[in-house]
Amino acid sequence: MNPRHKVLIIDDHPLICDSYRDALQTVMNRNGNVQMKIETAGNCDIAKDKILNTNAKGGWDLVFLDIRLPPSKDRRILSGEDLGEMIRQHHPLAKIIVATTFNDNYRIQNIFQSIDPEGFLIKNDMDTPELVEAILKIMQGGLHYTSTVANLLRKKMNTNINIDKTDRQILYEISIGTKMKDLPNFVPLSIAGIEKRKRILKRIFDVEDQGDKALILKARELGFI
Amino acid sequence: MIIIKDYFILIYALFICLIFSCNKNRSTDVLNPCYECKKIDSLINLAKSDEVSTLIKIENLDKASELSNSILIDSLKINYLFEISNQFYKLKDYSKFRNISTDFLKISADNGDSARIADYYWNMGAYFSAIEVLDSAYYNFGKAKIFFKNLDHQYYTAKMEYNMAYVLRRSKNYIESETFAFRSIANLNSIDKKLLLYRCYNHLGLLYNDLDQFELSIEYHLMAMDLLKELPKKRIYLERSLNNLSLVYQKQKQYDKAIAALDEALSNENLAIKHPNLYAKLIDNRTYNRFLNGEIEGLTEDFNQALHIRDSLGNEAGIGISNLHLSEFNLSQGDSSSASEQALRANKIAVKLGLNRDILNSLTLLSKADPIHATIYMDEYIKLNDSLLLEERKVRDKFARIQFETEGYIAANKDLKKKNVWISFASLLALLSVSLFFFAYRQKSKNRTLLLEQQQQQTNEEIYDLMLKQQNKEEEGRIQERIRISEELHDGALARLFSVRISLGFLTVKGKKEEQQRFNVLMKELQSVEKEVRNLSHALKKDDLSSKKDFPKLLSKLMEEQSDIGKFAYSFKQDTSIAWHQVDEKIKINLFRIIQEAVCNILKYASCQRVELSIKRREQLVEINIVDDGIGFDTNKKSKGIGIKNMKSRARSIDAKIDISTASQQGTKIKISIPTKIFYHEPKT
Repeated sequence: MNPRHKVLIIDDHPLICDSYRDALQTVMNRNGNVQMKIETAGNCDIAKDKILNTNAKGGWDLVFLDIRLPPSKDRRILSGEDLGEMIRQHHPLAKIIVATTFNDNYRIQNIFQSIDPEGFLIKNDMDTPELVEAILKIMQGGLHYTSTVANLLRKKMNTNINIDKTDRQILYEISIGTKMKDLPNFVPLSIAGIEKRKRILKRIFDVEDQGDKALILKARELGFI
Repeated sequence: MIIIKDYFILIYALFICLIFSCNKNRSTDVLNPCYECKKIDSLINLAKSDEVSTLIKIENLDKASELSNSILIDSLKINYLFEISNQFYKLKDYSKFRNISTDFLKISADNGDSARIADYYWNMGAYFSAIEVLDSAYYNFGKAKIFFKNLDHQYYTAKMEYNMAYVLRRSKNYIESETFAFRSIANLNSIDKKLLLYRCYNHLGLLYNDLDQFELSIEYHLMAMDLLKELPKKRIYLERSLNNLSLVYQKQKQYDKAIAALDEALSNENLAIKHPNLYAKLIDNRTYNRFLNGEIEGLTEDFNQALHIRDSLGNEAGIGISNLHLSEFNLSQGDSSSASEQALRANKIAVKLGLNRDILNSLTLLSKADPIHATIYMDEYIKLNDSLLLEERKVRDKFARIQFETEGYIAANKDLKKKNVWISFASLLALLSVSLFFFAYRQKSKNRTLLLEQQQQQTNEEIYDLMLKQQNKEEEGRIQERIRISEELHDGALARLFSVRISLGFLTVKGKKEEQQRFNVLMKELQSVEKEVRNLSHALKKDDLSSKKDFPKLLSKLMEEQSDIGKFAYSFKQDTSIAWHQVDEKIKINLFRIIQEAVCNILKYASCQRVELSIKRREQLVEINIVDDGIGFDTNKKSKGIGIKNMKSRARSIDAKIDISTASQQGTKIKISIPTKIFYHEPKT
């Protein structure tokens, strides 16, 4: 642990940034040795800038990452997920705490696969003590996931079913009501390909002779979406 | 009771009597003619026999005709009258012949017996010919000919034509005579009536002789004589022909040939006894030819021989000719007194008999023999000749007029016939074209109606398509709005709630333990509020597959409306597992239209109490049933109906199967089944 932690808070709610500051302060109070330098970014552009153009020495040590952010001006960064990937790229030693309001399994899994954060905090799961607890743990090299995420991971451990990202995307799109004919716009497959995957998924989820609704319900139940 | 019984007996008896009397009548009908027949037959036979005098013959024939008139059966009557008339003709009683003919004409006409009517005209022709009223003869023969022609009687037609030729020649209408002779010959072409053919040839021979066309005349006479070889009964035709031939040679002044011909004729030994008149004529002609040839010896004796025979036979015409010949001979020998005496005798006979040619000849001779009175004779000659010429012209005109009128009638007839044909043809054409127009118009209007119906259907379709799309858009809009709200809640309110709560958490609350506890409770409450807001936001966003009920909604709306109009109860059952929003628009539209059509038909025809619409999933099929308890219909009759056709074609276009089962008074069930694969647009394996 560096004597002087560099912490970046990326969130577009200033109130939440202040909460994080308070939390960090609380941590510093408890552990007198720690010195922190805190910076904030309110949108993707600033965040991008802060990620890419920090001083060469070490980079960021800790990043609070909100997933739901307004997209960058050039529309190349659409959410915190993209920023997360960028951070991993440029600051391989940094610890990322994802703090988000999203609580659907699909997004959570995606984030795990794209960012693989050390901390995953579903905002509405937690309260103040837990926040402080999480920061402490992570700064000491551990992990902290809030209850929703933990439960999801537990479910995933219990199931034998493995499906890839495309499968999950198909399931997700169907579940939000995207029509079959529009799916190729979201999923990089032809309709035939999608149909084939759907059939396989139905088999996997053991809803072979039933409609799409049954498939979605099952997938949801098992935590895939 | 008793009275009725009596009546019955009376009626019964009357009935029997009637039957018997009827039978009696019929039997007498059968008996009577025979009775009269026999009498008439015997009378006619008597009239035919040679042993009876002409007077008695005529008497018998009168009786026969009287009896004939009382015959009831017309056909028999006509036959007898015809026979009797023929016998009168043979006996040269022309007035009686005419009367009887008129009698049987009346009956024939009444009975439509055209054969007998033709016979009547034939008889009339013969009558007029016999009394030398040639134009009437010609007219009647003409009429007879028409009848025979209509009866397709070739022989009699030919015979009439021959008769007409004969009459025409006698009245010096040579060209027409020739025409008719040839017509007769033409008609005789296909039938074997050699005698009539002989007569025709003979006639032509005489005709051409009159026209001084000697070569032709000889040719035809020879042809005629050739024909005679094939005839079984020759009688004296050959001799007559030879005589005619000799006349031609005589005119040609080839007297040797004439004499040769006459010699050949005279070679028949039976002539002198059996046909003395002809014999006399031959002798006379032969002698005359010898005279013309320049002979002098033995002529008087031969002339007198002929004259003697003719005298004894009372052949007045013959006597006249003999006298003429003798007069001419004596004149040449210088014996003018004998010549004038004979010429005078000949003249008297000729005048008596009305033989104009002979009168003229006699007058010529008289003027030569009796030169003193030559002028008188010549004057008479000129007068007679002129009047004859005038008469001839009149007759010719009459004939021409008859011909013209007949032709006029024929032409008029033809014209009328033609007109008739044209009129009927034109009217048929008109009728045809009118009916064609009518049908075309009807077809056109039918087509137009069909087209309009189709157009209407199309427009209806479009309207409903738009309605569906509109509904969809509305739904979408609503959904979009909800999503927006959800997101707003989530991102805005929720996030802020959280941040406030967390921040609050960092504030140390100074105070009593209860206050601190109270603070914690409130914090927890805040957290749960957050959770609720989050749930709500998710609920709003949740695009539950079952939330999009637009298609079933449309159907239930349809059922509701139609059941209201048609005053029937309805039930709508659907399988909620069907993801309608996954279903292709085309399928939904077509299904909707099919169901709509079905319900429309129910409304129009079924008169039912209840309609059940159900959408089920069975294994690999999605099944839609529309069942009504109405009066049903006959599938055979209605199979051509455009409504059902449309349903079928729609079903075909979405690869669905449609079954219509119905029977009279047993309701109707329409089943539409689509394989789920197609329904959800899954590709076939």
